[in-house]
Amino acid sequence: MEVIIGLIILLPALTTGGLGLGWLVGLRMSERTIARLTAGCYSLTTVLVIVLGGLMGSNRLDTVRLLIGSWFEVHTYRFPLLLQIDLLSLPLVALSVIMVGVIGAFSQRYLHREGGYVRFFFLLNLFGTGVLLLFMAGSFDLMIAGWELVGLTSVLLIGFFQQRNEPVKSALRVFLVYRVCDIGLLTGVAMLHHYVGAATVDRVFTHPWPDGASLLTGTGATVVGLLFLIAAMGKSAQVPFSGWLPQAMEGPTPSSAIFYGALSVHAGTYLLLRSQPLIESSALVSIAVVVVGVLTAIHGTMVGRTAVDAKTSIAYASMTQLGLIFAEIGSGLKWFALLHLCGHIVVRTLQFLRAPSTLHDHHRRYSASGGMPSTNGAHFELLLPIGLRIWLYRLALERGYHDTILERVLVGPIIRVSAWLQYLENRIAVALLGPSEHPIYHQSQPGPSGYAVARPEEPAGRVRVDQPRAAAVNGVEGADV
Amino acid sequence: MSRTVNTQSESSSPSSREQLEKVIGHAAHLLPSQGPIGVFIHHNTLHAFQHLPFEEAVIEAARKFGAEPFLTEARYHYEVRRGRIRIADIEAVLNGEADEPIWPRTLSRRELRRALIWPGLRPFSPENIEWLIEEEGILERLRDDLDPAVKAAIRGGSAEEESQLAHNLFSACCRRLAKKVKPQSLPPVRPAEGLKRLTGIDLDQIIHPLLIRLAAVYLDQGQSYWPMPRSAEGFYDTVRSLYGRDGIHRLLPEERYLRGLTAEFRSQRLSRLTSIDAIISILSRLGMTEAEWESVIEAELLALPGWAGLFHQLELDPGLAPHAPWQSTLVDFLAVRLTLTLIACDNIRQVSGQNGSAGIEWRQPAKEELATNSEHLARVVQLYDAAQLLGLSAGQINSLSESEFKGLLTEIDLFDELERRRILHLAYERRHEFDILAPLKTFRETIDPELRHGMIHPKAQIFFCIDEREESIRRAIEEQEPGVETFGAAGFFGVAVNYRGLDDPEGVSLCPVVIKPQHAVIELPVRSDERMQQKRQQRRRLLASLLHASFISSRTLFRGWIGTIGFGLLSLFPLLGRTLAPRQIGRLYRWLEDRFLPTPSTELTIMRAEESGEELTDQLLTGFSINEKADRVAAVLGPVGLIRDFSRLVVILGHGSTCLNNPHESAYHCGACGGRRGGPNARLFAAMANNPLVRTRLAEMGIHIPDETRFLGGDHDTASDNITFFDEEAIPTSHLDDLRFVRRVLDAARAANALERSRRFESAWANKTPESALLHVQERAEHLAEPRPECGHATNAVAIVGRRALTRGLFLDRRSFLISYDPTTDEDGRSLAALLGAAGPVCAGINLEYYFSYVDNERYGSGTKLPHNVTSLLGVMNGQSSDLRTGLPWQMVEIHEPVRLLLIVENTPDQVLKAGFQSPLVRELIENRWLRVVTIDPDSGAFHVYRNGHFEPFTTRLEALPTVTSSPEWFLGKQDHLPIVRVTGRPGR
Repeated sequence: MEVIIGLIILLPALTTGGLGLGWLVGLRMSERTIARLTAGCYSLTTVLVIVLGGLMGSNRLDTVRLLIGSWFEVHTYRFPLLLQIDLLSLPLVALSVIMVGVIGAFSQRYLHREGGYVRFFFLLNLFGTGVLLLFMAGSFDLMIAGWELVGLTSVLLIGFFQQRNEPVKSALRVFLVYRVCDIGLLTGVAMLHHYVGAATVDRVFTHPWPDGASLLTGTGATVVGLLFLIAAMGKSAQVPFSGWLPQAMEGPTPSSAIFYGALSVHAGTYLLLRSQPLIESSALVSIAVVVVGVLTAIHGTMVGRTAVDAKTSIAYASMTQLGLIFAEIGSGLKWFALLHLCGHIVVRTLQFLRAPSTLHDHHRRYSASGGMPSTNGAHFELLLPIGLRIWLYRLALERGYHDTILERVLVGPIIRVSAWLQYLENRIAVALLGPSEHPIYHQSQPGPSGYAVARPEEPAGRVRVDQPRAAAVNGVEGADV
Repeated sequence: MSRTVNTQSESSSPSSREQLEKVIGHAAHLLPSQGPIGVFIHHNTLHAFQHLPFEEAVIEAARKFGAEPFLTEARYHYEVRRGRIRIADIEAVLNGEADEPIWPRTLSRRELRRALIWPGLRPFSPENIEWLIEEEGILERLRDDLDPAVKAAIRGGSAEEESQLAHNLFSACCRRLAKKVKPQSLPPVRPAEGLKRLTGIDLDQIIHPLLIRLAAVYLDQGQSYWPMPRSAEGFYDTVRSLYGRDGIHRLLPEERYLRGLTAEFRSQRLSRLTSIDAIISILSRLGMTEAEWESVIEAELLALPGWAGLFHQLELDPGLAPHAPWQSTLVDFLAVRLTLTLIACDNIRQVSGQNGSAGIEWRQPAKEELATNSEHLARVVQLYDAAQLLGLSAGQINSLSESEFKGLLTEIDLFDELERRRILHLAYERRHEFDILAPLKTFRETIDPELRHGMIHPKAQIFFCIDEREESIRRAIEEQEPGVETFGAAGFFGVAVNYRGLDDPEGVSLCPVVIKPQHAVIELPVRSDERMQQKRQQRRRLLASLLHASFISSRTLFRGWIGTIGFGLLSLFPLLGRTLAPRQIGRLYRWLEDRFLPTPSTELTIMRAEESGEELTDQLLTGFSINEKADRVAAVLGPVGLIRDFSRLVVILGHGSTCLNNPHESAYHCGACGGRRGGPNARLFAAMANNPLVRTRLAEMGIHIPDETRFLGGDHDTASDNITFFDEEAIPTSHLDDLRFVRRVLDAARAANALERSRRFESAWANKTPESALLHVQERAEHLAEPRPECGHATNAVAIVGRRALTRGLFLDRRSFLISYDPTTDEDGRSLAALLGAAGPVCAGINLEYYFSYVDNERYGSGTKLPHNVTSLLGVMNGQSSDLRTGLPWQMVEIHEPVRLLLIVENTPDQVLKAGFQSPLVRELIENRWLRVVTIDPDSGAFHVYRNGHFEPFTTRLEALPTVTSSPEWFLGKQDHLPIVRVTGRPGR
């Protein structure tokens, strides 16, 4: 069984590596080859997962582990590379391989003849590897590797259409949120090492999922739990970090489906489910998780109701359910949350894949119901006085002004500080190096040499010493928040 | 921050209002005229420039829109290299243009242009020049593609090394060319432009997300669950009453660059400005004088043309809105846009201004500048390159007099990249023209004069739409069964009707968009099946509420919760089925539908007593009277020339296209039916033509349909190649053999058609058998991921108005609209005028839309469809917030060849002009050369081409027309456009 676990992660990794290497050395792989490779890899993995599930069921095992080795060992401390499949990861691993396979099959047609076909499939495979690593990691350290791969591929696929501005800016924006929230996971794991001395699942919890209790309690649990919550909030687009989710819709539809319908957005909920015993042991964290979840659910449903484009509407619907899953986890409903999670993955993926057929589907519904299907949206709002109703509508339309608020309280001050530091640095540089010669600040271009072209004097290279204020303006503009 | 509205402009003078309305109306012409995407009508993308000659128009429009008028120069060079353009074509085009001496006796404009266009000036720009010099060493040797004679001229007898020659030539060019003063850059037209130049902050990026969201929720046709609160009429008032509020609204934070927006809307609301007054007041606050209105409004509207255009289209025809006809005016849109602009402009100025003063002024005069070194160098190198192509030596350059040198330089500058591309494009079209006309002419001379009039005893006759996609299936039919005759008539078959099918909630127009139907027809179940119909509708309602519930409940809070937990995993079945086995699951769904939705037999309400004024709502007459029916039947049969020799069974096939994953689905339907399926029209036509009373009337008009002739309507699906018949059960037993015959012929033909279509699909071009090809195209139509269910009108290039005899047996590669027309029965040219008036603009519209969407797919087309996102049920955006994308997506046009439609008419030049000029629209298209017109004399077979305002004879013919025995023999294994060949058909049949 251990071999199977190894193969489940090895196959996608090898496919990714093969594709990447081929691409790197300039091998001209036909679309068909790439698609077949992906399809073969994930069909095989699906079979393996089913076999593994069967074996686990028949042998009544709740956990299978594979220790590959250690990354490093220092005295008694070691960093084990441990893979495991338990009752929590089994359904997610199964869904992952099915979903990546389905998206691969879908994209074979959808991206046919599109520039970047190889890139897409490479990233899809890399994502597959990352997400499997995330779900199968037996320790929180290893999980970080999968977590980062998922984040990276997600960002690169949002910016898939590199020739246009919007996708690249959105990708950068998502990258920022991911990086900020990843600090939560990194410090969380570091704190785990600090408090427990290890980050493997079996050392942190007493029993395998779902029965375990956390060995870490008290302040330690609260600190780690809160840090994990921040990480999960970023990945799973929880309030107030939710603004990136609609922006992530710039990528091609199948990548929107696999990332924001299916797997990537659920990584946060998985992290919380995995550390559920820890969360449970701290009332503060439990409450925080529930509050974040409920707020997100309300926010998502409000904004989603006003959304008029197919993809944004699905994105906010997704956010709503993610919020509810958070709330379920916070209240200790593990199995319920897991079921909700799995059902949600499937529903959203299908919806995203149908998004380009929205008009077709609408016409069908419209014709079948003999006119406009009744909009029930009126019920909810009619309970409110008109003034409040309009206020809420505007709040929903502006997506809760989260980005504005974040910019004011978080991004703006950081940018102002860094602009001031840049100003300071420039001043120091000028003071040390003199005004005109330093190559970094010198804007001249190397010209053709040795020809009789009279090259009139370049205007002397000017040092640009930005006023902190102007730099702040530009900085904000560049970050586009 | 508090603001007050400038009170002095509270009520603007009526004259400035009028002036502003005029300005807005004028700018509106430039906006795309695409309506809601559910009904896609092909039209000339540059309709606003149609009053200008084609070449002038595309260049003018390109300047205005920042778009490309032609293909790139590199692409044309590629076409020359692979022989698609020949040097002779380029020379012919140059010879057709005005010539002028540059240097007396030694160099003329024509010679200069000939030398520069091929092998072609290399592209030099300030960006690439240094690379080319340093890395490619262009200054160290002469071009290697020079003619030896030219090289000798550059050498001028000296025995120097080539590198020395190159160096001398370049030095001479350097010496002669003075540094140019850059043309003064124009002052910014609108604030966004000026502020971007000064601060680098893009105002549009600040206001567009909000503006797009507001426009989308306002126009929404029912996608959102919580519609916009509408306490007022019109976009401007609605937005103002949403944003210009007090009380708790003060609690809402405002975006960094939109601070003060609420206050501004509030004060506009309090002073009860109309949208037009608001615009006037804002323009004056932005410091605009009335003289600048035109340019600023044009620029503001063109900053987001898709949305502005939609507002305008819905203003022109509110009926275009599929469900909710919200009051929509361009003035309202502009008022909101300018309010946002004003606020953002103020904020940017404040933030970027120094020392807290009133802020920077966005209109700063441009400075005159010398060209930069790279710019100058690029110009010198270009002269150096031109001198090589012209065979000028360094000595010659040095010895030119000042005026000679200036003359040379001016001419080189005049022959800039745009001008070169224009010439190359004309050559590109000229080769296409030759490749079509020469085989046609050769073939025309071989036709047996007896056969020109059509067949004597056809086994069956089948009508298709004129659509170029039907050319291949017509050919396939004739190849399989030479005894069958086919015709092409505009796919609404003369029946302009408002039609409501059995399952439709409301009637829709099935006719070209320019016609407003006067008659309504409803499809009703036959009396005996009324119970069945009730059951059907009940079950459909049930299905609808299930679908609707699942749509809504997966998205809301509580229902979504229960839904995803309870039924979420069940979605795995459709998900896997739809992606892994699309055809099988499609079949399963259809089986379920047949099983649970009983289909009653139906009849059409087409009967109307003579002169009875029984009216429906909307001033529509129910059905057609006998005379009206006879007129409609005659209007189709007359021009086609089918007035005798009817077969026992005449089939009329409308067409449409079934595809998923395709917001542009309507663009694949029948253009002559207003972007909808043409099946009902075919059915109606057949029912009319079968009526004995109608036949009596027709006989009086000279069309004698024998009693044993039956008409049968049907529908051809151009995506899945399925063909269905209507009212099959009404065919009398005496005709069952004929029906079986036609069915068999069509079944074989549609498979052959699928095979021919497959050659263009990269994923299927290796298909070898018609059967597997048919399965392949059926899967395409069902596949959720397929961005190219079919190729649509791509590659269309020719329209032939004439008898089938001109083209029967020719392989036209699905690129020709075929409009059946018999000139011998049309002495006065009335039928021709009607055909040209209807089909001319439709075909030209399709052709030109493809042209522009291809040459500039980002600006005129809608780019790749992969990021397309349906919004408000009205159109598509890129991602979650972008302009509404108009035009055709890349996947639709990628195999297109952008040439103007070659309209070939079988009649004399005089008759064609007379008939064409009866419609002002067609006249404009012909005179301004948006169409290329060719005539074929019905008697002598002489060809004439319309150039520069008159017809010139076309006399070339091919030595021999290549011949193949069957179409597959010619096309199998090939993907590219194929030249015309003669298909003889299998011998012995």
